[in-house]
Amino acid sequence: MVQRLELAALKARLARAAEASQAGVLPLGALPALPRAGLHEIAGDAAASGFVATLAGALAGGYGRVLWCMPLMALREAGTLYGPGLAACGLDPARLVVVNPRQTRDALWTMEEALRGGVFAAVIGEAEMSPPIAARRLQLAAEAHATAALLLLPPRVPSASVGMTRWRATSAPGGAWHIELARCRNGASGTWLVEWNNATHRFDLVAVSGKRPGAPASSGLGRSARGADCRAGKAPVRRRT
Amino acid sequence: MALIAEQAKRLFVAAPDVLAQASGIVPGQTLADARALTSDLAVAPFDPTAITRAIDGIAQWCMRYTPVTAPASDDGVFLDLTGCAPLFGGETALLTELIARLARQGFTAHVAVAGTPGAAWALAHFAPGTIATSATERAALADLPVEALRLMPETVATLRRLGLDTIGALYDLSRAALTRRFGDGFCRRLDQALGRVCEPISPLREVPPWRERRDFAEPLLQLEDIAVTLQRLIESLCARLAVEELGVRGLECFGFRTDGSTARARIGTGRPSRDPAHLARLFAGKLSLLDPGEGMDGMVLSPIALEPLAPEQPTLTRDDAQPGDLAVLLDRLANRLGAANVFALAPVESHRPERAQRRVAPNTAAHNLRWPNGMRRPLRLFANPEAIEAEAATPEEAPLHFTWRHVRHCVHCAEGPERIAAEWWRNAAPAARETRDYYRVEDEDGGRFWLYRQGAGEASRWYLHGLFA
Repeated sequence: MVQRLELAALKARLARAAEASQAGVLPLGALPALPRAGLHEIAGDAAASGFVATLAGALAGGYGRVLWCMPLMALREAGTLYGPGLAACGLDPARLVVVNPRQTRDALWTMEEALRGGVFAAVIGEAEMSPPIAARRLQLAAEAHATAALLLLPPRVPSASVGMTRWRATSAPGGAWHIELARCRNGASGTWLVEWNNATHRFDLVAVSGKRPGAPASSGLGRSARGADCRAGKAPVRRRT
Repeated sequence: MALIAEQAKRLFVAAPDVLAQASGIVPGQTLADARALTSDLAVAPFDPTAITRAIDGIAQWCMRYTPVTAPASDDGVFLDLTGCAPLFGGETALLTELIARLARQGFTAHVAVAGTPGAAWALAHFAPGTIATSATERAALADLPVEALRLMPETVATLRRLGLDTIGALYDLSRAALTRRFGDGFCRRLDQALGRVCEPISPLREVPPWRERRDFAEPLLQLEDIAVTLQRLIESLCARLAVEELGVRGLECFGFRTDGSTARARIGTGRPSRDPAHLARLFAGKLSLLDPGEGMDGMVLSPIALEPLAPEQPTLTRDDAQPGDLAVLLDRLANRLGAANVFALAPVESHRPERAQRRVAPNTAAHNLRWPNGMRRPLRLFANPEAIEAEAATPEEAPLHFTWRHVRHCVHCAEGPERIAAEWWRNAAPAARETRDYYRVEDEDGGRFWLYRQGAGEASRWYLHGLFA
């Protein structure tokens, strides 16, 4: 009896220890887990916005808050955030505070203040490039206050980075995302073709599109013969973990 | 020196200065007559708006003495000194200081104190320096000319013709006769001067009942000193607010410079606050507005709106300023970036996609709001749909190609149309009342776009409205 109690206590301790080691990272299913404290740079087009929204939604986990700092220039260039689309990406707009600073300087200030405030699960920013000194400051603030800083960058941007990770996200045919982890502090890297599963809150691998009869109705578009004269852009998919 | 104005194509002296008056120049004289008196008269155009501006500036500056100040017609300022004089060592001391400070700014002030605005106006114009109480007002006014009653020029001329030169001469006349002869307004002016009817001063701004004031014997020159003083003002205001269990929704700080100009800075808070550290931090980005310039010799801090605020629970665990407070952070962002640039999104029941969401103040958005058919809506929406060139097999079908921002996209697959009719009950411009056919299209690289066609047949036009993730 005593032995059984001790065993139970030991099991609970082990579970707590495992939880603690997991607490610092966000499991993402098919993708490598994301460290919660640190700067993550995500380069890409509209798919990168979606990927960032999804990551932020997962980081918030239904109770945290997210700040999205979008300079007015980005607003004109890429459009405003649209609530229905955010909800579809797994980020509840009610958990979101949007900030529209006029200048890049104000945008970086906003991100740093938000990180230092310690009230957000994720702080998203949009920038033309990753300014080394500001990025370093963001990385330090994010680490010190155990908050994720997500910096959204244009598709083609030089890849010097001071953040924890650097990602590249592009749209793939059939509603999937082509995700590349270009740099990671612990050395992992790779390329994946994934889809967000709103039920399990994980990314699922998508089989190479040619082998699939059709995209799921929930996220992709129905195939049609139209446009067959266009090049079918299928990036090679490989997985290295 | 004289200011001149043009009337009926002739130039008149509008305002002569002291030296010009000494040579016999009076307002209303033609410029030619004035030149005959002094050959070397310098002139400048008379600008009524500049004078109004100057008077308003003085009225604002006078708020250092009392919260209730108001410009009086176009040549003076009313100050309600009720209860304020003791703070400055009595009315005489206050007048001396006021005149001296205005003189340093280059103004010659004629000042008087009386129980009514009417009597004060009369004394300031015709017996400056007088301090009359309600008991001595009647006697003080008796010897003043009838002009002192703020009457119409015609009324003054008639009184003079009748030999009624002083206010005292009117005291013994029957009111009925005066009203019959000069009208109702005449007796009201007399009553206002003698305090028989009340004449309220409409203050320059709403009177804040909670003000903190500091005057400096030596003008402050350093911005750091201004910051320290501001901090003290905030602390002492917050201490008073705590007693009454109130919080402010914003603060306005006035700094009075020795050159007569007034510096202003204001902050707002998302919810009531009386946390000195928080409020002081909000001012941090606006301190440059309180630049002392040549020197600042007084500051006033006044709350913009007061709301009840329950006392804080004594915190046992956290003794430092709570960094985790979302409201505090949002206030700081809103004060630096503008309140309109910090917001949350809320759904709106509308068919038009661009109207289906609105901006709300952050921290107020209710949770679990329903966002309509999310999967079929883009992540990014352009506030102004961008015109594109698109080519479709027939005018009723989805496009085969389209060119957006100089880049040509081949449509790999498309879904639609989703017909979204205009909300006819809205009185919009004709173009906005047209029905739109929306298509979700995917190009050969997997990029997903939300396009729509507006108009029918040959006249149809294509737009790009949003981007899917």
